[in-house]
Amino acid sequence: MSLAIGDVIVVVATDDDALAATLAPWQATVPSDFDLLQVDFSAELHPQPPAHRSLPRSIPVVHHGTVVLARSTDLDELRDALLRSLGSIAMELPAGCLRLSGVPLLRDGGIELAALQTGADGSRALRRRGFDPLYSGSVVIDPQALTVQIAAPLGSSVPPVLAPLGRWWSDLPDAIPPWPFGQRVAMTVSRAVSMAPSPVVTSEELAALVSLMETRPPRSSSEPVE
Amino acid sequence: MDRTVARGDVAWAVAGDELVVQTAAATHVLDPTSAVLWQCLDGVSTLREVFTDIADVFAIPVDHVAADCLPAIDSWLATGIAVDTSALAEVQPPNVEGEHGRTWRRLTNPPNT
Repeated sequence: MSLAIGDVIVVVATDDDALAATLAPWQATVPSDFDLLQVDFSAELHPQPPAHRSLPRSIPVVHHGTVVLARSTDLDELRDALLRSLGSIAMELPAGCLRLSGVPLLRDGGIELAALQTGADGSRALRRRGFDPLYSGSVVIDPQALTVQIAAPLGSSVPPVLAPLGRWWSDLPDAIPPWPFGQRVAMTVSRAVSMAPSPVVTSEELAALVSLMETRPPRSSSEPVE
Repeated sequence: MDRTVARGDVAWAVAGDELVVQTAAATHVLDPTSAVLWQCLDGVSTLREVFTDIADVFAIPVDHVAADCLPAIDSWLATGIAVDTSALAEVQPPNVEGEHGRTWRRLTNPPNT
């Protein structure tokens, strides 16, 4: 189904009737020449059971492209993940702030932002490590106040979550050389555009990213999220 | 050297000694020397004036500055992150007309698609 989130068309595929009903008010009719073949998000909440009980079964999952945003046996958690991800697209970006993709992990009243790929670890594994994941695809960070804002689920009346930023992880490749600061910023820009409504950031957002990386440098992707 | 060149309509920020330029297609990192040159391209000063200013600051002949800087400027013009001000034209982003005359955009492409 194609949804109108603000002025952005987002294509969502799901096998969940409850989720489809929740998203129905945002469904939009778009011109036939509009490319809707590319699915932005998919929520597979009811995977086919295996042919035999000895075979591995699929765990319900929410994808963004080929990246696993969230994996859990708790279907409400996955519905929340998709709705927060859609809510994050509609979230206003205040002046001086930037949007970064990732998996927000709540612990001790703060939020740590793991790389988006961490969602593939699954909720149970993250909780065993002491984190409470609140999947939202992307968050808004204020680099001056060092706070993180997590969008409310789309259509929800609950307020966004606002908490101090703890650690955050870069998704730079492993075994990177000690690159100069500018090159590390350039590599991290991809996280600022991967869930954004626009494929480019503004100079102000780029400056906010530089400021964040100066005051709170990211952890390397080779450092475990523990 | 009498032409004027301006920074294109791109996002950029100083990052330490370097400078990061981001477009929809690519992200560029300029070394400290190029970063100085980039910030001088205001679209008003001619390249001769820019090179003269840089030559004054670094106390080197202006011809040396021109020889070093022109290839960089040419490469920026070629990639489109800088523009000859005389060639400036308003470019409209591609959009699709939606229902009730509304203009829709697509979300940024998902990873690996």
